[in-house]
Amino acid sequence: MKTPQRSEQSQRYRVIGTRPIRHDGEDKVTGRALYGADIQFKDQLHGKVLRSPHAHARIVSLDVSAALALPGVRAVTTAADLPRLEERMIESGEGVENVKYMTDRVLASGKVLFKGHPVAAVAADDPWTAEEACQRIQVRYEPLPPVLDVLEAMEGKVLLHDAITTTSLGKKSKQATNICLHTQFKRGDVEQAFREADLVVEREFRSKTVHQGYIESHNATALARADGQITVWTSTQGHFPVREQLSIILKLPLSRIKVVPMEIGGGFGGKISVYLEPLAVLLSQKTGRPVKMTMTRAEVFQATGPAGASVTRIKVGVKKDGTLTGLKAWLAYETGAFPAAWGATGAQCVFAPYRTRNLLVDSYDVLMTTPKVAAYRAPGSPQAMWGVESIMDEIAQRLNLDPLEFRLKNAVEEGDLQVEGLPYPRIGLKETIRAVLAGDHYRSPAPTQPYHARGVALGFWKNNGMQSSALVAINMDGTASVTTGSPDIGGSRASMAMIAAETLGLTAQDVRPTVGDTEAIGHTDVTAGSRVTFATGYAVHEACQDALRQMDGRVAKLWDCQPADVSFREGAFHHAGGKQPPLTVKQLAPKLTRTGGPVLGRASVLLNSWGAGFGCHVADIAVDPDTGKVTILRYTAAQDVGTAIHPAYVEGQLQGGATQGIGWALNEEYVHNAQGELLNAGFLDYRMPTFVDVPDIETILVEVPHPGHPYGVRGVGETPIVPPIGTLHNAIARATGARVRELPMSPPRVLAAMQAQAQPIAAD
Amino acid sequence: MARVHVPSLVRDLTGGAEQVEVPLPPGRGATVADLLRELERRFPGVSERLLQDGDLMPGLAVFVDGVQGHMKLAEHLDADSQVHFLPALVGG
Repeated sequence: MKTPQRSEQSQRYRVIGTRPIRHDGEDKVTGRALYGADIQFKDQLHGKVLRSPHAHARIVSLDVSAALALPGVRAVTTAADLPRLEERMIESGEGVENVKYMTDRVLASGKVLFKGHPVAAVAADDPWTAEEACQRIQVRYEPLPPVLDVLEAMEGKVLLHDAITTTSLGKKSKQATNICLHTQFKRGDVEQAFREADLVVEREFRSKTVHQGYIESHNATALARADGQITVWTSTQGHFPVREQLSIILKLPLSRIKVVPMEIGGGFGGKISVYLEPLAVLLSQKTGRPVKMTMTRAEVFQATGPAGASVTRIKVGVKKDGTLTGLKAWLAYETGAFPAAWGATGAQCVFAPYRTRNLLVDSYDVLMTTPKVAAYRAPGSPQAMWGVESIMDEIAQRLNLDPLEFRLKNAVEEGDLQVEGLPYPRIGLKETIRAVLAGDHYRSPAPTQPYHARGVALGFWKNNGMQSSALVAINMDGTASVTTGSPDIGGSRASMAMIAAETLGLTAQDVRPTVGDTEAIGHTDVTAGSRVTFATGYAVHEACQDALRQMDGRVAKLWDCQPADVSFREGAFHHAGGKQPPLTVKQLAPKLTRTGGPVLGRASVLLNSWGAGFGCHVADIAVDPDTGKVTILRYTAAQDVGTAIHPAYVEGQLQGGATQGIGWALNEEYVHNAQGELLNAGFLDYRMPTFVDVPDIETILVEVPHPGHPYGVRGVGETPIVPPIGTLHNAIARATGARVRELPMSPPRVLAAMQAQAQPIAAD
Repeated sequence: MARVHVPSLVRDLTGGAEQVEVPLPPGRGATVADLLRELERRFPGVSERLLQDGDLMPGLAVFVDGVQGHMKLAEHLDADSQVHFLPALVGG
């Protein structure tokens, strides 16, 4: 196998930019790694959830006595066991939530608001008894009409909540509505900009609900001890946010709750909200025994948070020379049964790559009788941006411009304004487009056969800072142990070890990375927002610096000089006067005991800088004219990644994100019947791409270092899901002449769009 | 003069102005709270839209000179600071 060359950026470093074997690799491939489902206690009970059979109904009565009478049943819990919480907005792991609805989401009270909404939970000696007990619970429902379409829901003929009004530009409406949030960004005069344009294009786009599709289903095991202490083992993207949510929902002090993060089999944003954890705690409190709960695949689809459906209307004005004059977007997003704000994040992303003085973006988050949506890799951005990328491609065709040169002409750079009005810091969008223009894929001839074509599109996501903690212990043999509070969802253990090794002058294998539970490490926010390598990596760097400062003093003792005379550079301690030979951490470590004892570096950070990640994808495709099936012939994903700490994992993020985007583009969708029942709640019918459907995705890592990070890291995990929809949509349009403006672009839709085309089909 | 980039959620109160200049004392003596008091005096109703329980509304972030101010109302300002109030972005 050919060894990939190190990038120019990585050649500044010893460890960063290399590709060591991941520290958790052997446990993962041999099956020794412990996931939530591996937790076993000899006296454990098994919990199951009774879920609503209706998408929308009033609960008339609820009787659990028959379930409790079943031998082997130890406890039943309902919403009556949950504290009632007053309406109050809080910042949680997944953004802003109204605490009133956190409990209603966990267990329905009064009304069920989606099919699969939990109504009660049972703990029994075995899972089969728990399931049978669920069936014996008597619930009388008064069915209400469901609302399953974004635009229908906006009309408000069927209301989900009596108390929810529209918060629009800071003002609340007087009447109840399904529109829970209206957000607007505005600058300049967009209507005047359209009048000054030579060409104005306006189109409507629709997308369906899609799920993150993580392989491991949700699970939680809870043990409530007699002294009131609670331990929860769970699969999560953030054990500290799980602790916070449990504290709020159950009205318990944080110190009473310990959350242990197990290995996680995928999350992509979907494993931040709690679902089973509060139920397992309630049942354990009632029984005094550990209670284990796991979801079936159908429960995951029916009752956890997917990405919302959307309707978007995009309007773009442009001069004949390809200069954009104005940009306008109207975005409406499904939030599911409870308020969320991913439409607002879509509004922040929709025109992110494009420079303009005139812009108007309105977004609406809309309640529907479906599960509350959750984050999904760059949440809100894919739904918003593919329509923009479609119109940019259409404009490039009509003005006879190269689609990438047209984008490059209008691309933002440092100092240009973001959608919200903040100036961009140093970003690498233009470098990324230029890298694609110069790359082998784009320079190779586009396919010219009938029904074959090439498409391109851009994508954007920010990465967040937020809070992270790290500990770095220097071992007596010169190795080191790194503990962080970030669940490892995509290889971050390796990145943390490499950052520590780079900073301390060690090798990656000298450093053992560990994810600590809520009692082993300081508060750390979610593994989300593309923030872990950026922010937790920052904390690891700071903890190493703390350890080095302590070791400066130890070296000074050995050298009989002042700590100020000692400096650490190029992997070793140096004497200011050059009176001593350099000393490495490995050489110093055995002498730590005699110079003062162990060295433990620590750091907790709250980062106020953030990085923007831009991606540019290229696809060559073929469309089967008889079936409408799209085959991807070649696919390249390019992205400004700042500095690739472990390039293989960065490439993996680009490939994984692109693959999920390809699924969203071509096949994935929730299919409901008129009663709101999900008809494809399994991987056989919910069509995610497999290796058969996706070619080897080529990657181009563009490294424009983030100025706010010691190693220039940018978050990379989310951006790559954004461009594939636009990329494939544009390729299909150029191959067939038909623009398919409703997702997924599955064979029947592509075929119907082709048949609707009046003109004969020709290759572009 | 500090320059406030007026978010859409209060722009109807500023007569549609996208930016408002607010005089602040020299040095870093003034805070975001001081700025909001002055805005409230000139544009009544601004505080109700931006504040909850005496702090910035959850989900709303303040950026001072392009950098997120985690101290929120207690964040210090220069006399010529650029101030943005924006929705906080999280992610998946």
